[in-house]
Amino acid sequence: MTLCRASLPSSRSGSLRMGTLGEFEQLILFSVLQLGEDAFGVSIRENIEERTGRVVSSGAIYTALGRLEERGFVTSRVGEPVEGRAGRPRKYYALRSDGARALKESYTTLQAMAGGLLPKLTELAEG
Amino acid sequence: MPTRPPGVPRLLRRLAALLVRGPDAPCVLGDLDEAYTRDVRRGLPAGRAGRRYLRNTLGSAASLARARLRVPHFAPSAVDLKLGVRMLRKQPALTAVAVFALSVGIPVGLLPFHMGQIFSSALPLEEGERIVTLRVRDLEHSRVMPRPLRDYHVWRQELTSFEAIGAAARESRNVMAEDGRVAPVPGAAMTASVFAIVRVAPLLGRPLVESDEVPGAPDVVVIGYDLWQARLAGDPDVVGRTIRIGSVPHEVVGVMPEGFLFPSNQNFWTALRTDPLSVGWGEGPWLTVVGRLSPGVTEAQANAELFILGQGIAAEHPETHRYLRAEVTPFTDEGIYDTPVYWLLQFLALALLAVACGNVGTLILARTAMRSSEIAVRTALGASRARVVSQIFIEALVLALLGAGCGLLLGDVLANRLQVAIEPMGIPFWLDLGLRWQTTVMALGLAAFSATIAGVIPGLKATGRDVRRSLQRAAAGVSGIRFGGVSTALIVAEVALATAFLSIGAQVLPSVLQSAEPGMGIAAEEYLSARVGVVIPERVGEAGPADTAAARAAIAATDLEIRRRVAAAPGVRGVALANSLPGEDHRVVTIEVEGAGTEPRRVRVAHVDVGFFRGLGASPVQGRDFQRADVADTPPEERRAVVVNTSFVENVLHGGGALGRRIRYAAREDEEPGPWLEIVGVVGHLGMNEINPEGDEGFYVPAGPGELIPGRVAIHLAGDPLAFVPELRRLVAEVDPDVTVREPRTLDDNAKLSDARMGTFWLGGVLVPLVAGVAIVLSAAGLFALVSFTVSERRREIGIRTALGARSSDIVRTIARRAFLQLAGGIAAGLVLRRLMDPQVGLTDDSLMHAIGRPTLFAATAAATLAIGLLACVPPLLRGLRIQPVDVLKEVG
Repeated sequence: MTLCRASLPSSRSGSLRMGTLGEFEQLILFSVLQLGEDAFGVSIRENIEERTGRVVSSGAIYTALGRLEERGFVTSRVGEPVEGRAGRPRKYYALRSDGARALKESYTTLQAMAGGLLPKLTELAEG
Repeated sequence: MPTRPPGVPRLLRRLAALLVRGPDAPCVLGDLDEAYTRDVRRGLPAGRAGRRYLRNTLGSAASLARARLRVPHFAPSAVDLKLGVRMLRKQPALTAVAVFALSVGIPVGLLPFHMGQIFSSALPLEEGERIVTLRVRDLEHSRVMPRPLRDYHVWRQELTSFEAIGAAARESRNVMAEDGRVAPVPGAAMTASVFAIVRVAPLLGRPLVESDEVPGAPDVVVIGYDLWQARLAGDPDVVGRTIRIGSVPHEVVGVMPEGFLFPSNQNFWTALRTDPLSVGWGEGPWLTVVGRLSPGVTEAQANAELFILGQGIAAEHPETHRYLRAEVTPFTDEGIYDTPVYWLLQFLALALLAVACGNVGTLILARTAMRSSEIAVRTALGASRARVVSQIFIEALVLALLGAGCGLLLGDVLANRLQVAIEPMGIPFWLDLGLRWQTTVMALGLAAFSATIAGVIPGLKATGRDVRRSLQRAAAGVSGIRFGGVSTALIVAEVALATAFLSIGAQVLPSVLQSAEPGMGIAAEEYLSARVGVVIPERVGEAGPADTAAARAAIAATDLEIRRRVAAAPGVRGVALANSLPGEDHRVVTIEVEGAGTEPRRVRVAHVDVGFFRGLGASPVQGRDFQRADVADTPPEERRAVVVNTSFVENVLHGGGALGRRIRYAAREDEEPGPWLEIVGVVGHLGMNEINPEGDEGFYVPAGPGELIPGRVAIHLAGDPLAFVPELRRLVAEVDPDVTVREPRTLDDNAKLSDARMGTFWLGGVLVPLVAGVAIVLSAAGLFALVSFTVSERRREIGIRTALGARSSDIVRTIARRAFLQLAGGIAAGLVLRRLMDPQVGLTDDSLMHAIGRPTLFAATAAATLAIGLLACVPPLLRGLRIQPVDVLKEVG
């Protein structure tokens, strides 16, 4: 729930700083980066599920990717129909340089803030 | 045809297609299928993969809907949802009643809305929403003027709101290819501009071009995919080959892709060659005029431009255009909003839906009232008012969504069934009866609305008092909630609906049962019936004789020759032509009988050829058959002989002698009465009234050669009637290739499939019983809830009164007085409503008013509703009577 709230303002104003990414958007962009040519709805969903254990819906992925595309962070192309999809096409996504910069910025910001705090965090969480 | 992935349950796929909407829907639906397939391939059990599919579907639908509607994230707590689901299981009777009410109420209630959506949807063509119809409405007669050729000519020259304007004249014509078969195919004579408007390129060859429209240009045709496959074996070299359309050979110049059937269900297109200036205003071919709006121009702007142009034409030609108004409408608009019946249906449907939703609200209010002690305790333990109200709302929402979901699925299944059933009848290519997202959203919105009414209001009522008082009331077993005016009104309305629809149902049911077996007095399964039509050149914009004496003589000669050849064919026992065949719904007219006062009588009439009764093997039982002399050299208005049927003799002439008596068409006040017609013969029962075969009093008027083309033919055959169809078409085409034989079926099937019979079946056999059933269940549930509630509220009073020696009858009166009053009020209102509905549902027509007399019917209906209502009160009443004073005094103590 928090994720969606964090990412909503970007779709409304469209004028936020380039680097502002919600957590869910970061997960998706990392996934697109990792999957490369094979980044489409099902593979992104499976990738996030495998790596984080979180189950997300296909619709949520498309909604977030739609916002990211509006902001110029990713591009999309519709592929040829493949078997097992009742004739419906896949939509492939690729990371653009703006998207890569924003993701890098979010990640380094988080790293900078989290630097050296992990032991303390673990202690608090377990204690 | 797309391939279905292995194993995805059909119900889940249908649900997904229903819920997942928006521009990304195709990709998301594809992902859902692919994810399911991958799950199964990974070895996940089908049940688990299905649950993952469902979760993914619901999550996707919610995400896409939120994104489309731009609403913030809202998620009810899982505990509330679990409680909601638990309440469904805990009170199965309430759940069943509410779900039944909504799952029937929602499809029926949304039917007119859904119809509106179907007839205002965009064409499934490129930018199909920009393709519109231009038509001229005749305000004086409330219909569309069919021959706007001169107007079209002006529109095409003057209007600037359109990229292109074109016209099409539709007609089914015999197509004769090299396979030697003759069969009528729906086609259209069309301007080349229509191909630019629809923006569909041919699969092979070229579309029609403007030079094809020039008089004297070679006759060319563009054919449809189905015609190409079925009659030309899908020949890839078909372009350049010749086929005969009617009597004229045409060169095939193009083949359109599969699914292209513009403007309705056409399968070939020839050039429309017209000379607008050679015809008068309101004359010429029957045209459909279409246009594509220019970029940036709205339908309203185009309408305004056309309206002003139309005003100019009307000013110049007041003699034809005084009451005509030109207008632009969406192409799929069939004018359903213009009919009062649509609005009446809309009103009735919404009334039913409102009652269904309101009733669910009443049931939830009763349930909330019973739980007031639980709510008081929760409030005392610190639950906020918002928390309690939201929980009751979620419970109501779960119930309403379940009902709406069932309703939508039921509606979708019925719509698909209906689509499959009517597709062979040649429906427009764009007509898709399936669920639209608008209907789905409307249904879900209604569910949410009824949940708000049914959940929030009782919630607020139950939590509106201070905690101490609520606890005191809870301890005393009293909720403090009242069944107010709204609940009373709802119960009365439901009882009224139940009474009215039961009454209609009881009245229509005998007709439905009787009409299921058409009684025609002949062995109808031995007859082949068909429509015989002739292409009138003027109607398709071709040069040819108009409605002149010469043209009529030509058709008469064709008619006689066709009949001669068909009668001589092997296996043919008789041929009969008429404008209505036995078992069909014959036209109703009003007549007067000479010497029987001026009271007009409504009877049936058929125009038949001289050999009609011989063809059917139905010789007159009295008097004589029609003879050639009855029609020879006599124009129709001067013919005097008629034949009546035995029902006419019994019901109109009251069994007296018929021969020699005279009848005439009753005149309106401002008209002269028609001439007297003499009864020359009486025939047996031949099925003139398909709804009420017993009440088929009517008469037959003779028609001369050619007067029944277009018309109906019935052919009595020695063998299988349908096996004669190819031979019949060949014989007819030999005489005149422009005469078509359509809708061939046995006379028996023809009667069973007729519009009126199907209408009676759907109205009387399905819709009315459904509405009556819903209303009865709802009213019984409402009364049950009311009495149960009263028993709970007055438990202590009942106990004390019993202890003081009150009789059972007093206790019953105390508990059920209000319910009885509501029941009585509802029945009275229902009988009034039933009376008011008479003219609307057409039940005053003599065809449906039979089998049961009105006073008996009303009394029987009222008694049935009363009995059902009283039965619903019995269980809670017994519970009230079983209250033991000892128990109550213990509680008080």
